[in-house]
Amino acid sequence: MTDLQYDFKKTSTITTKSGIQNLALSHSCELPEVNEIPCFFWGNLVDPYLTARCWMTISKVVRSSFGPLPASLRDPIVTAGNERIRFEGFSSCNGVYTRLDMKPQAIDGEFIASGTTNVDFNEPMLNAFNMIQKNERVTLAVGDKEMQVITERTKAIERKVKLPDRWIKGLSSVQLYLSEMELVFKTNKIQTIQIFQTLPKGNVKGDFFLINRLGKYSMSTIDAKPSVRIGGIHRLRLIENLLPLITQMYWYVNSDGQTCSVVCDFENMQLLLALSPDSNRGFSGEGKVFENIQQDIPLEYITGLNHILKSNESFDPTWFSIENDIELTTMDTLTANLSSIGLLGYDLEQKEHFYRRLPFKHDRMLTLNPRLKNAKKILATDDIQFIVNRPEYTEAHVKGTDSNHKVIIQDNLSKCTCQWWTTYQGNRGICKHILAVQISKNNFEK
Amino acid sequence: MISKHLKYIDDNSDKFWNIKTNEADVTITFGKNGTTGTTLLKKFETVEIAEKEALKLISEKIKKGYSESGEVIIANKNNDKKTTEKIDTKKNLEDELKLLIVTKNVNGVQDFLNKNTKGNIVELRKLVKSQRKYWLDYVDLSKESVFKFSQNNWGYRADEKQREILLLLLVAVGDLKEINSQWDIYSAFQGILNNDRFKNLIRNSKPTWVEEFLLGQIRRNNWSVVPYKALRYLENEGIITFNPELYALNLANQRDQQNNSKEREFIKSFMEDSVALTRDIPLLFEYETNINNNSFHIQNNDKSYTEYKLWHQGLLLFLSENKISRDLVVSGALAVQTKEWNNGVKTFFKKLLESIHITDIEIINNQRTIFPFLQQTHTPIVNFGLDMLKSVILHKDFLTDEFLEWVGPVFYRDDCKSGIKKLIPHLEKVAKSKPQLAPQISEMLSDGFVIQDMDLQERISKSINKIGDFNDEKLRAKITDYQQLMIGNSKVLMDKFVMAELEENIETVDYNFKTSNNKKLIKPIKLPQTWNELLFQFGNFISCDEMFEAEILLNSLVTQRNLFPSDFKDQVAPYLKQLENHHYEIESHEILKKFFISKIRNFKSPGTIRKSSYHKIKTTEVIIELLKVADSKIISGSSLPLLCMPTHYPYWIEPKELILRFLAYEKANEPVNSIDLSVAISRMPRENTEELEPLLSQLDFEKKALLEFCLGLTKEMSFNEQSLFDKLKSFIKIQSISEDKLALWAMAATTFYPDENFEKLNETNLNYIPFFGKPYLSPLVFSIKKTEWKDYRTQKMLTNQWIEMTISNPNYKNVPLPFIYGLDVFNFGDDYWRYAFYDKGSVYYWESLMPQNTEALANKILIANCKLAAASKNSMFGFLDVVLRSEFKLRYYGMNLFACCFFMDNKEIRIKAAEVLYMGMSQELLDINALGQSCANLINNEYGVFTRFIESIITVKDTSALHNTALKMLVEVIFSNLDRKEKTPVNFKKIIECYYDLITKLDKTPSPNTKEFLTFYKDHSSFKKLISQILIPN
Repeated sequence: MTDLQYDFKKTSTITTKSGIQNLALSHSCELPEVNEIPCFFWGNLVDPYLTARCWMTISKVVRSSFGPLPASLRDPIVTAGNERIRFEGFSSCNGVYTRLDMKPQAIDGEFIASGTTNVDFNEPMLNAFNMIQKNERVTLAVGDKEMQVITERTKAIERKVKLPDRWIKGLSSVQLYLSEMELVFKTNKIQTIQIFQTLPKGNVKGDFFLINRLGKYSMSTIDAKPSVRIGGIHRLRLIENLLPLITQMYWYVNSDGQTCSVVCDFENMQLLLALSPDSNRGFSGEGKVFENIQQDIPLEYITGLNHILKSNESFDPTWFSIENDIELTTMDTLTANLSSIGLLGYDLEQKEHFYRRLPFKHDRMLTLNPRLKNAKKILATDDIQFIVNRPEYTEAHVKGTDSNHKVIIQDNLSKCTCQWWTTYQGNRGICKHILAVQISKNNFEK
Repeated sequence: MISKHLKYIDDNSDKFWNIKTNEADVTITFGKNGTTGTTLLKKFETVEIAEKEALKLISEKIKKGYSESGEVIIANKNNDKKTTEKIDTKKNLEDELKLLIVTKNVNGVQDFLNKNTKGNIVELRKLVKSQRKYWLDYVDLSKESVFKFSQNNWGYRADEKQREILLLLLVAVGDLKEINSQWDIYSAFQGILNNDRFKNLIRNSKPTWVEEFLLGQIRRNNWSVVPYKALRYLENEGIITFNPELYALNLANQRDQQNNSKEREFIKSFMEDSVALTRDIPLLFEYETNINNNSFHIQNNDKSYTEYKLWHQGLLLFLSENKISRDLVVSGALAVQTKEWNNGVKTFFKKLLESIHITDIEIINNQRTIFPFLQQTHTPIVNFGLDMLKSVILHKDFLTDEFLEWVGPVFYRDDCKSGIKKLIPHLEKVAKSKPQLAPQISEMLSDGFVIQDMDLQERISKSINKIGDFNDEKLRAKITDYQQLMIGNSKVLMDKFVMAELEENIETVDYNFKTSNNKKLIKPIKLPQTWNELLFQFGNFISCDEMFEAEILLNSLVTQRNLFPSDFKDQVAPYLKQLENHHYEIESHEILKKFFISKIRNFKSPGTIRKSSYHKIKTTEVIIELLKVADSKIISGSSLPLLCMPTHYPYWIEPKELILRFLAYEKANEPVNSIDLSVAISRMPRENTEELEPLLSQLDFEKKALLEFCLGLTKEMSFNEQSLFDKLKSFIKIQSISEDKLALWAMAATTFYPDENFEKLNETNLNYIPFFGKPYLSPLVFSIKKTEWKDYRTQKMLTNQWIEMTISNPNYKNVPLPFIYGLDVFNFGDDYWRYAFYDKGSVYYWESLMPQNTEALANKILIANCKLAAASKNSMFGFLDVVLRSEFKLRYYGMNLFACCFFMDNKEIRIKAAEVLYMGMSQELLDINALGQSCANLINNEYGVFTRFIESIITVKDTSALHNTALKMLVEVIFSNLDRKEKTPVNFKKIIECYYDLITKLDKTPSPNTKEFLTFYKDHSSFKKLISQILIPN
């Protein structure tokens, strides 16, 4: 499947009418049933100044690139439903993810439809955000409440946006990383500002750790647990402008100690920023997906989910398993599966998944895992030879391009003699050979 | 299998066509109905190809009118005719086209197009594409002499004229996708006004893609440009419509195409064009263009050049002639500042505003545009905004309330402190003229305490004292919260506002420097026990730049050979490939890699052991010797480990194990290699030495004497002539046996008594070797270097001056290999690059050979990589790791190298050095005195930038009372070792501020030496006030 390209037929606009700023976000979605929805939400912003600042931060994220890829604007994704609105943004380099969670207290309006879609963030609108003041009234419309008549003067500019598969994949894998994150520190405004003061100036390479020494937080290049490892630390500056506005900041780190998240808390809203292990690495690492995705899940769950849940509603695996008569043990797999195909997001504060269907076609989401595809190719050609196959220990030879690789799976540790595994030593998930052996082993045990 | 029988029956024909596939064979039979017909057999490579081909043939037949019943469908017949006609026109068209190109008939292009375009556009497009490929591809012409115009075998078939024909054809019939990649078409548009043929072609063929094409090109190459007049021409001809972005981007890049020295005239040409002035020039404020890079140079009378920005001059000119409105420029240029644009563009417009001297009224009129400046990330814009706003802060129409909301967050910003300082007096005025705002302003000011700047905090404190209300509970609560962030005398100044004093726990801690006695033998190394472990050890070696993984693998090959399975080669094959494709920066790893490759290929025959020819570092030869030892073991069938194989991570050897190895060697009658032994001694800490007596007594006299010396049981050097070392004779290639023996003793002496002088070694003829049984302390030498050159544009003379540091090591004389410390401590001369030492891994390699005395390593890094503070290398990171691992056992060179790290231009090195400093202070393992002296020496000799130094050491401040004490000590040592010069380094004030804050926080008075030092500067204009506060506390 080629990279997704979509057009905005209209642009988002911000207009002033009798002293009130009206923001209408134009949307677009690959799924026709979502694309046809005229309007998802219409209402007032409770704190327009703060909201505008958060939107500007999101726009900074989506127009940034810290890796080798040139930056090009990727529009944010909005999910409306269950009294909440969430804006998700992802950088061009696939390494920075941000999400603004607007709680019911932050918005005052009408949810006309629930769903997830791409919205147009154009420059004139961003410039207008800049000007929004504290005691101003601002309305927000996701989609158009009334069908706009396009007059000749307002010549519609169709803006085409291209979303590479890698980007979409990264966006969906972020949720898996998030769901494995634990809260490490909670800092107040002054502490947070002080932490940001210790950030090295400019772009620096290497790892940094947020640590607490005798009650003082600081960024160090040497780890001392408990700590939050932050790779590509200059990326944190994306949220620098928000610091004077926060009430608290939460610092999370993934169980692998590689990825991290910071959450700016504003009481009625939260802005999350998740960072990949390093500036030159994306969230697209499929490794994360594979640890769980070795079993296929029936397609009907996916379509079924859409009927059961509304956007932004929390997803309770236990309840879902009882309802659908699924064994609880496979629920982790299922949750991971659903996340990786873009059906679930993860809320760090509530520690739960929420439903939202990324605005991309399902079969597109399924083609996103080349390593899995390659592993299945190995399985199809029957290139695995088991030497030992016990539940706790497996040893196998897997045919490679010009030599055989040895795969060992012992308890939860697996090893392979291929170049990929040697280079990353398991830091980027498992290789296709291990994956193939694992799947084959699973099938065998069934 | 495919099978089909088709018939064709009409007035003239009655025939059949039959096809059958069998595996990869296709059988076709055809002829008159009722006959057996003719049979053809075709063989294909695969079944798939055969079936595909068959289906193709079937569909062709059906198109021609064949059917199963034999009935011919009329429509098909017509189509058939059309197809043939088409083929005919296609053939004619192609011939005509070829003729046009071959005859180089440029003028005939238009006629050709007029005649053939209609109805044939798709066909023509295909033909042009294939012709372009033929004529314009870069190909081997050696066999096509017609096209060969030069000596070169490779070239293009087309000449200039043919190129033009092909270009015109493409422009006329191509689509955007093909055209987009053609730079020469863009050039043609750039020159359209002077190219009638192109002009006419465009006018006649009216391509629809021009607007999108031109816009795409300039978006991609923002320096390119189509002349403004050309755009207007295209617009008038209806080829493009008015596209604001296209106009803006091009307008910004306009320059005089003909004559470079007449820019001013060129600008004037716009003044008479009302469309340009009213419609297009305002667009420069609306789109992010390359306007800031469009400049020209004008020669002055003194022959130097001055640079002018074209549109800066242009817009000023239009303004002065009243051709554009001042309002447009002011509001436009202001609005630009908050857009998400490149900072260069913003600076361009900022300079424009500065040139036209924006008035107070204009600021008031545009204040709402200026307010958002205060929340921009780019500091100069914030300061620019503050600068403008503060001049109108008391104006009656100034929106003070709104302003205060916007400016609040600025008070948290470290980078805006200069702007804040300037703003404070103005805010005081506001508070006085509008007392109701005073509480809000005081609170806002107090937020500035988060910025760690002594001067700023003092100003804030004084200001709050003036306008703040002692009874304001909210303000007092806030200030109380900020108490711990106050530096200098702010705390004293804010005393009245503080509600509850912070727990005054000024601990009096002392910094007691001690040396570490931590155990080194902690984590034992386990060699692979199974074949799988051994197999994956290859992977461990490949991915690790430390030595131990290599040594584990090397020793496994010697001692664990029994684990090898029969298909050893097949299993290791993936690693062989990886090794072959891997290149290490680390020379020792490269040597190891080559060895392992040769061993995988042929385990039984001698391995490849050699270093790169350009590499001259002597210490690398140690690994070569060790590999030779290992290889001879493999070949001779010995499975005893090398003496120097570490027993504990990362490179330690337990004494007992070394003795046991000796005994095993003796039993097996295996020779001892003196380099192997030398490394082993160097790696052996004095730990677990109890109860070694019985074992030691089993050794022969020589080994026993050496080990007893190493383990500290005796300090006697008893090397007498006949013993172990004579036995070694036959195995060591180096000429003099006694030199090797001496080297081993010197190795032991320098390892275990680095600061002592051993007479017995000094008397030998090897006493010229640095570190040989005595400390080696050569001073750092600093010299000033200078270059001069002329700027070709401005004709100004520019000079550059810098400081170089070196150590005057002796010239190289022969050093016996077992004395590892002395191998590379000499002058490199001009051949220095052969001794380069850039990567971390090489540092780890050296460290692994001499972990207990890193002086030789530090000497090497200092001389190889610290010549300039501006040329830091990764090896410094490696060294900082060594500092941590060696638990700060830094001697002369080590301490100097550590001090250098704080001056390096590479930020990451400074950050890491500061971390190491923090750790050293926490554990009280760092010799503050020695570090202070080294730092002072570097400052005195102007090595590196002082600001870098002070900013990195200051990061340990306020982490604990212990760190503050240590830092105070460090600053005092630096003070007492600094040369008293009238001219102090830039930002010297920072270190005095730091000191003042430290003694305030620790509640200490300055030491006598410091007092004396500061008194010297007491009348210095920049720190007069500060010093008096230190010397005469209030």
